[in-house]
Amino acid sequence: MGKEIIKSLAFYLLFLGVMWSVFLLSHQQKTHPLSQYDKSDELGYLPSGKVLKSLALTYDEIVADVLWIKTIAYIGKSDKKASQSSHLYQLLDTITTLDPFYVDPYESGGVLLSAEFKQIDKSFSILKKGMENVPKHHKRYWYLPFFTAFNYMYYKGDYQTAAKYLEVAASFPQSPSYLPLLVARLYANTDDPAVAIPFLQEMLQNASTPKMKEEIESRIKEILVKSHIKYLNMAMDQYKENAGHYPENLFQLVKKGLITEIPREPFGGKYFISAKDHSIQTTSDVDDMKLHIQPKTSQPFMLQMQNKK
Amino acid sequence: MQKIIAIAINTFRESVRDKIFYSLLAFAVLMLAFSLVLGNLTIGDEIKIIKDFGLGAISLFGVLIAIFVGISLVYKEMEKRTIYVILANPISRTQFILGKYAGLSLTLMVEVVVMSGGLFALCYMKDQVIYWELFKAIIPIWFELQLILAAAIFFSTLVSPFISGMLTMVVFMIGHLTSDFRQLVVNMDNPAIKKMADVLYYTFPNLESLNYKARVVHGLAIPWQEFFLSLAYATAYTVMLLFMAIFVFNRKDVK
Repeated sequence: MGKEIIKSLAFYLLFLGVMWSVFLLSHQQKTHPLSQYDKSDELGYLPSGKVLKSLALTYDEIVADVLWIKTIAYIGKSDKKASQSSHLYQLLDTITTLDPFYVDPYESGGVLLSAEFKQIDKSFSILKKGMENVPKHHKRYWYLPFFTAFNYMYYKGDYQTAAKYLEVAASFPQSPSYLPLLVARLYANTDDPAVAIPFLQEMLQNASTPKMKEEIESRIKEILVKSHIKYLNMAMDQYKENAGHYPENLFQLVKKGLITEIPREPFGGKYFISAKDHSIQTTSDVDDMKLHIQPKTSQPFMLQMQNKK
Repeated sequence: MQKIIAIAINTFRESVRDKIFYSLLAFAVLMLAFSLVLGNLTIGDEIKIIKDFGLGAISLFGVLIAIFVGISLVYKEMEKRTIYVILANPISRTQFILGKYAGLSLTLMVEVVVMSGGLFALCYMKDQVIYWELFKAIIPIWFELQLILAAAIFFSTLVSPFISGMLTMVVFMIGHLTSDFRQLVVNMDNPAIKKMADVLYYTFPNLESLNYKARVVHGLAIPWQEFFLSLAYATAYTVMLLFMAIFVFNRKDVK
């Protein structure tokens, strides 16, 4: 009898001992990982999206979801590595091939690639793939042309193309109502500000609130002023070339036949030649519509945020 | 007809008591719950992940149940020699196969209904909306499961459970691969591989045609013509497999 008890007691003690050592070993692994090898780097060695799409059988979307979550965790790691940026594009491409209608990887991925990793061209290609595949009725679709426009404006300094994409973004009913004004501002900074006017007139017809209507109308006037000034400046340069000096007033331009008449200032003010620097100005108080960014020198906003921390 | 129903009900009772059925169903529900956790980890659309995992789980565990429960039933009947008792009654072998099929079909129905209920409940918890359009993905999955089940029964009349399980799995895998495979080899120079892709495409069922999951989850339009044609295709394939199973079983020497 006593022997039996000792036997079972020994068995339980042994069992407890084994359990204890399992716990110790797992704790050890958690606090002092034995392997320096970073498993997450393996994400870079995934097969291509097309192959993976076949291998996933009918579960493409689940594989895409899991990969997307892994990508978020991988990119969110505190130690930034060069390999991350090269893997990110590949991962995004794989995910979006597995589930081409999934808007989040295009949207967040596109922003990450340009803002965090400075891979502007790859960001363009992800956003473009998104614009081709995501169904247009998706409520976040407009973010894709919006971020493309942002890339063109901020990193490339190409306001014309930026404005074109922003126009696309503004055409979606889910986009915020201030987008058209932004488009106008972008066009105002291109060589031909008047391009914005037909767009704004179209927007004026669709404006839903009186306040919005008022704002668009005033923006049209601002653009007009901008293009008038451009037009008058060109005539004035011509005048200087012919006569060797600047004209004293605008009527001299008409007299010389450089312009047919002085354009009517839409806000009710008058155009005049500034005596200080011989530039055309107006008596009304008009927003100069300059974009206050310096894309080449300033840091992207995400890095600025990090630096603030 | 009554005889078929009697066999079907018995088969249903037998299979829902099966431990495999319960454990698979438990894992399926677990997977559904897991999607909630994953939904929290993602950036962006949570409900999309829940829908993906829910529909995927209905399909995956349905296939596993169809295979694991489907392959052993005819074989078990012969192993335990109960088939003599059944066939000694005025029951034809055709009725036996059809009864088995109907019973298992009912078992799969339980899986699909339980899982769909869970999925709808989860979506309702998250969004307070019942996404009725999910049925456009669930119904084709149900038809696909019928096809897989018919294949499992067909193979089980031919070979041992282990091999017929493998073969059914292969049908499921190739069925989803063929359309992709055919697109992958389009640019290849090798005519033999192209021929092989064509042969595979026409001999195995094209199960991808029943996959509406992505389009349903992302709210894309599904043409009704395409929808019903694919269901008709699956039905025709299922009936053909059942005919083949009956044909083989009628000629089988039951010892």
